[in-house]
Amino acid sequence: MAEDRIVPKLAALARLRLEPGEADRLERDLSSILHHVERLQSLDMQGVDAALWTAGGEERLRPDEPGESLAVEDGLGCAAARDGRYLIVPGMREEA
Amino acid sequence: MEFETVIGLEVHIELKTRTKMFCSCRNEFGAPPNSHICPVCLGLPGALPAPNGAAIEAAIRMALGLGCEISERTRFDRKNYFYPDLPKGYQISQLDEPIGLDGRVLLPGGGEVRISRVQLEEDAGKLQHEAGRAVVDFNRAGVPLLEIVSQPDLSSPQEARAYWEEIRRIALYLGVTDARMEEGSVRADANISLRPRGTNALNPRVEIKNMNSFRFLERALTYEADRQAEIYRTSGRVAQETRGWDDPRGVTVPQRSKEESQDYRYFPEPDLLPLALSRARVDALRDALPKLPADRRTALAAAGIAEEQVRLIAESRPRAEYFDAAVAAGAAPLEAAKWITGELARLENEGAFDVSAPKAEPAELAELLRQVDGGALTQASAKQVLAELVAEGGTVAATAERLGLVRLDDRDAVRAEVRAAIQENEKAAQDLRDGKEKAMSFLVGQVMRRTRGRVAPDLAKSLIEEEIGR
Amino acid sequence: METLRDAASRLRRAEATSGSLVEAAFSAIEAREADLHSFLTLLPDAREAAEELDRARPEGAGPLYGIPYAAKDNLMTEGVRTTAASRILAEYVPPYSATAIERLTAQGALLLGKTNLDEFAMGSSTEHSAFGPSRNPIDPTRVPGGSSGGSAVAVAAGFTHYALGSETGGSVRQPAAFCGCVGLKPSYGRVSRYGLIAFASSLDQIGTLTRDVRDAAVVLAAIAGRDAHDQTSVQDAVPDYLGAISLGAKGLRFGVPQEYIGEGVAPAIRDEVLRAADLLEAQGLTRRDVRLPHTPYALDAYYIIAPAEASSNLARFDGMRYGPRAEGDDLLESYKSSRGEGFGAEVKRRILLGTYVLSAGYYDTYYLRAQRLRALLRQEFSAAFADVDVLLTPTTPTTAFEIGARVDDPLAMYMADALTIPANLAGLCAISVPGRPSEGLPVGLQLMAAPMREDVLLRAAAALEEVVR
Repeated sequence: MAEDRIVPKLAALARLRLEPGEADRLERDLSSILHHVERLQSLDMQGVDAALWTAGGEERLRPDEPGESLAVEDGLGCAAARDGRYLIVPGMREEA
Repeated sequence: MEFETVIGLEVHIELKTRTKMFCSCRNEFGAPPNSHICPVCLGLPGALPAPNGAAIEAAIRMALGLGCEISERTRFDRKNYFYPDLPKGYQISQLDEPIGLDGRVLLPGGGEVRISRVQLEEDAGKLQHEAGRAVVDFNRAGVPLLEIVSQPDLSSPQEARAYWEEIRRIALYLGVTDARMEEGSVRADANISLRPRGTNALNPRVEIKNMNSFRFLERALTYEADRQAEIYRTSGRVAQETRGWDDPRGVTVPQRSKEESQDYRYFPEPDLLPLALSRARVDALRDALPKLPADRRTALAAAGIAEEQVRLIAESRPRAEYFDAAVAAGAAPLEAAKWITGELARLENEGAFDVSAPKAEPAELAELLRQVDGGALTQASAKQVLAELVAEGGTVAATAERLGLVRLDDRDAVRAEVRAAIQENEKAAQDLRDGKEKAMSFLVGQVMRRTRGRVAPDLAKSLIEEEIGR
Repeated sequence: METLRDAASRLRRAEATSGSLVEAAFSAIEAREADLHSFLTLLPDAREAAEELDRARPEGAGPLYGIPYAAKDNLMTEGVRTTAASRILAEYVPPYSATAIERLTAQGALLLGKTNLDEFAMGSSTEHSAFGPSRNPIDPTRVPGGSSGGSAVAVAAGFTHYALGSETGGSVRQPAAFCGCVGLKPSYGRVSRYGLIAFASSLDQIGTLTRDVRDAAVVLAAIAGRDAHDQTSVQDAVPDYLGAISLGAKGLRFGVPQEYIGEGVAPAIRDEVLRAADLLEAQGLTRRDVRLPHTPYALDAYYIIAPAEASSNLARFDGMRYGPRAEGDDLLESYKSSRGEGFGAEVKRRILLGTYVLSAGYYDTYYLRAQRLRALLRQEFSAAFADVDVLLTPTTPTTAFEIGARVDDPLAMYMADALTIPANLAGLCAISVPGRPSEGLPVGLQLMAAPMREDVLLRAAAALEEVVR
């Protein structure tokens, strides 16, 4: 059923244009992968701390001292469109 | 039906650090576009964030200044969304473990506003719309930004404004920001809803985004409260939506709703370690906080100072500290308050006096007041001395001496000046003899002019009367 | 094949020059690269760079000085195209270099080229490269493994003495196992990730592909250590790894967890692991029983966590600041087209999967549970490493499979990483060492050690390499 499809909503969130055949395939792939990882739901993991890292001290913080910046030509040299020092991006239709 | 207004505010403050939040590019306003950019703040492939210790310290101090609990463990999260001013496609922010929780702010006019959270994040770049395109400058991208979220405790647009002003005042007291409104370094989003007075009804909220002036906030909320009230009166429904303030037209307008509902897909930022903050570290920062505006206001009011003067003195930390120092040097609090909010404030407004780097030292203000009180200087002379101190520094004694402003108490010398004034203004003298009292103040003025204000007005008056034989 | 250390001593004795090593590399590449496709970019000025290094060679030059190496094309190289094997970065030339690359450059290492990979390191066969697959030098009808396939090929085919790769779930060890070289994944935080295009930040780590274990020690020592640009890089001093190896492995305790040699593991590979275990015991290592019961769930947790992080890490590839921009009608169309056209199928699959598991309402069910499983795995490993110094397992369930065999079956492809993924989830260090081939195809033996215990890992690995030979 079309309303059960998850790919269109995800593709919109992830800003991915998909061809119709591609979307069908991904729908199937996602479904089988998600089915596979369902196994995790059966484990009792109550009370397990999911924290990824143990908290560190302030010794790994950066001192507030300025360093070198990039020239525009280096930082934005691969940009599709520039105007002088500015990056140019497409306009937003709704706000035009 | 009577309605009451329910307002909550999210205030954003750019922190004044030398470098950005996660890279060593300069945090500096006004540079040519895209001059403070690097792999990190441009979101180039492979770049990683390196958190700025000074920004974290400033955030903790501000949270403490707002009376927050400081978490022993604080953590960054990613907020994912696409926008061209957001280089990485996510903003590094804080969700579950922000720097501060559960604070409160006391408003100058009374009233308490609860703070739910204080979180540290990175600012986005600056995007300007043009015809069919937009231009982006990343100088601001990655500048440390503090978000202060209030509970919906504000009950009027005026109160919302007072709250925002107080937040800004506290930040300025702490020196964590420049708070330049015109540069957008302090901004606010407001949530506003109405409910029948005396109920706890939860009605749809309207969010008004990205306001950068106190006046806009007050006007926008006033408009929005009226608009919602009108809708309810005509038994319509208020849509839960985001609106923007169109100042020239004086209206709020619905903002483009994104074509999908937002889903920020927050998750813990894996590039950054959670930060453990020791109790001792936080206590040391708390102990080192300056006296804050609310405490200032309480102390000043307790000293019997008038409300308006309390407000003016507590407005800025340097002024409040100037007041303290003058009182410590022996000035009577009421007099010090009067002069600081009067003559000195006038000089400040003229740009002649900088209270944060005062040439007229507070101890000299105390001395000036002492001399006025003891009669050594007239009010008029004291103002001249003060203007001179403000411009040149130095002591009251030397300045009064140099300007020849030591009070003229010698009756014979004053009488000579009075006679000269009468001689030069025969018509006025005659008017006075004829009973025209207005001529008296003119003649006193003339004596003052001749003596540059060194004569006590009462003395001048009595000698004029003697001289014209009344 | 010559080791890095042997090449270094030839240079030291002036029996070779950097120039001659580059020439040799180019002629080896000339002979086989058309079949194998290990490189995406060869540095045009490598010969000049070699001459310059020869001229400037200092007294007491280090072990990497003047020797050509290859780097996976997801490591930033200033001024040299870096593509991640993706159309979206096809012409991208970065303005900075990864810390690992900078450290090698500072020691006189000579970058010869950038190697092929699965797009954004997402894959186990190098078939997901936008620029065509690499092939296994032992049997070019088979995959070299992945995602650091190009780097493994370059080392195994004799192009370079060593190469840098990167791991998220086995992307160095698995191709090392398939191609018959040594693949080392350092502990999480041992090597700075700065300048490595992020796939899954909490799992990624730069690793080495070498011709023996001691070479791995040499290269690791050159790239390891704290970097202020990577907050997750650890501050611990870098030990003398070669010195550690010279202590020998006698007395070290090891275990062979049953969970790694059960169902799905090819019998020949299981037999080779058990043979290696006997040989190690004979060498004076102590064998202990260890259990790691949560192992089967590791793959599930990985296929939640890695795509979740990837979906966020790959958001920056939007055609705005770099990369080709599809000019749609407006911003939204441009985003969708740039990304839709720029990413390949496997990358899209993982972005969507990651978007799903992080989205409202599913976060707790998937991401949070996966992180909890990950925490359990860590505890389990931590307990195991109280009893043993290293774990011995197969690197992969099978030997190299044929090109095309799994490319359309994501789950089958993912199984290739089932035995390597736990080390990434737990932040361990791990290494794949070639065992005795099976039907002419290389077999990888994996050792794992506790985080930051590369010294112990390398001691055991050197012994293993010795006994299985």
